[in-house]
Amino acid sequence: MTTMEIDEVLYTQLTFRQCLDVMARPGRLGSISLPPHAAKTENLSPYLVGLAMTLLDQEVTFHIDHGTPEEIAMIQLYTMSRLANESHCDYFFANGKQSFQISKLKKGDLVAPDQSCTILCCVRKMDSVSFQGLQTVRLALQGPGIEQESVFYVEGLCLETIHKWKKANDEFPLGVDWILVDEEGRICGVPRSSRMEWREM
Amino acid sequence: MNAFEVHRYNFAFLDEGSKKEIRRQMLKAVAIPGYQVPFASRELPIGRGWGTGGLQLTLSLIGPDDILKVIDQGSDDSVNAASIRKLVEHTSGIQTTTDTAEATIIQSRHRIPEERLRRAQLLVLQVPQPEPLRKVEKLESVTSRMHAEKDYSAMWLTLYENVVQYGRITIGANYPIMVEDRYLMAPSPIPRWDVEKLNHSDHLTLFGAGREKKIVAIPPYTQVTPLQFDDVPFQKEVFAGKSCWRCGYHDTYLDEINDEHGKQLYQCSDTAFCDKHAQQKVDSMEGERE
Repeated sequence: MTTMEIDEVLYTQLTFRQCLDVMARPGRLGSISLPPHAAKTENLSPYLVGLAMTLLDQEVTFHIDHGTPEEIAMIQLYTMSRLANESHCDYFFANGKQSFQISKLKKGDLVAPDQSCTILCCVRKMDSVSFQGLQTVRLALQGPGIEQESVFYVEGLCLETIHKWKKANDEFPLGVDWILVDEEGRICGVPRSSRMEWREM
Repeated sequence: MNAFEVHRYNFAFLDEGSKKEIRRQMLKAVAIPGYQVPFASRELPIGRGWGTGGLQLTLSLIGPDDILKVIDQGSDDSVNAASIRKLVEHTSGIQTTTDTAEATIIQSRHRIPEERLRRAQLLVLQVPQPEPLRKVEKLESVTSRMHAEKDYSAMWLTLYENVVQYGRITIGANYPIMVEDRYLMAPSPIPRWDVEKLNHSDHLTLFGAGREKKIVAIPPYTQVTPLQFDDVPFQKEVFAGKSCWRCGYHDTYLDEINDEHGKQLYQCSDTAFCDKHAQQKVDSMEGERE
């Protein structure tokens, strides 16, 4: 086993533990580091590629919103995952700035709610305290994993998407799960079990 | 960190593909608390039914900085716990402990430690039968539909028959619980004493059933309620007037044992907890003498 391979083993372990922690405590911000090798592209931040390397393999499918052939090839190369259209993919890569059709994504069914899509979405910035930014949104969550209420602020997530997000997760246990990651590697998980209120700052 | 044998095993034994699949299913389990997420349970060098579900979760979770504690029925020293601990040590080189407070991950068979777990700790429970409805329905296809429709009437009826026949609910370990008022769940054969530790806990609990190929999760601060009737409330085990013969503690889950003369004694089930209290007792006695 080479040093690079060991790095990747430990990178995916650390990244997964952050994903698990933020998914178990919705609204709490975690932090991931840059993957051992990945370049920034138009629709994929290196951190999103890191999440792909951690979670995707040949057993699951993905879709990149407005993805270029180069970006698709990169994810296939790193993960051996298969490309699928929006309505069949297990993982959907999105850029928070652009609105996308959440209603098309898999939400599972009542017998197998786990057969649903996870959205891996990059945003510009997230913080647990209010900050000045372009179109910053305050999201307040309640539900499993949250003691009272969990609040965080996001810049770079379009309002139309948030409307659709809330609607998509109206019928628990059906729904989609989100992992948001910002340009500095801060991540936040919002599972379908979270009830969400939001307002524009 | 001890040196692990790089050339003989991948870090933490499982190959990275297996870990990825288990990790994906763990995230789904956390997103749908109480729902049984299927996973492709892998072969391990221990037999199915001996904690392979819990072990696969642990192996997919651990990193070089983790400190692992493994217990079986509260004991750090039983064969099952010792074997699992050694396997993890040999294949990952991570540090292990018997101290609950020191551990970052606790894998357990049939007990939740007496010390309240912190938010940074992860509890992994080994599960023999994750389906709470198996007592009332044999077919998986039917129990899946019952969960989908939240149709738990057969389980309520079983409890009612219990009350009619015996005047109380006679289920001991593995008491059925409702998670967030949506999914009925088997919390693994933990005693009723431990059920309340799952309700609004600070830590995340993951349940792995290797033979049945299911993963279930209870996130922190999740509502967990044992099934009960208004007039027949859930009751945990009562040890009125009894205490541990070693450490003297009474507010703990006690095992009934006999000494070499056949005399009945009670002892803390959680051995690490008992050791701490026994040591405190010795320290305080020495302090009094001084």
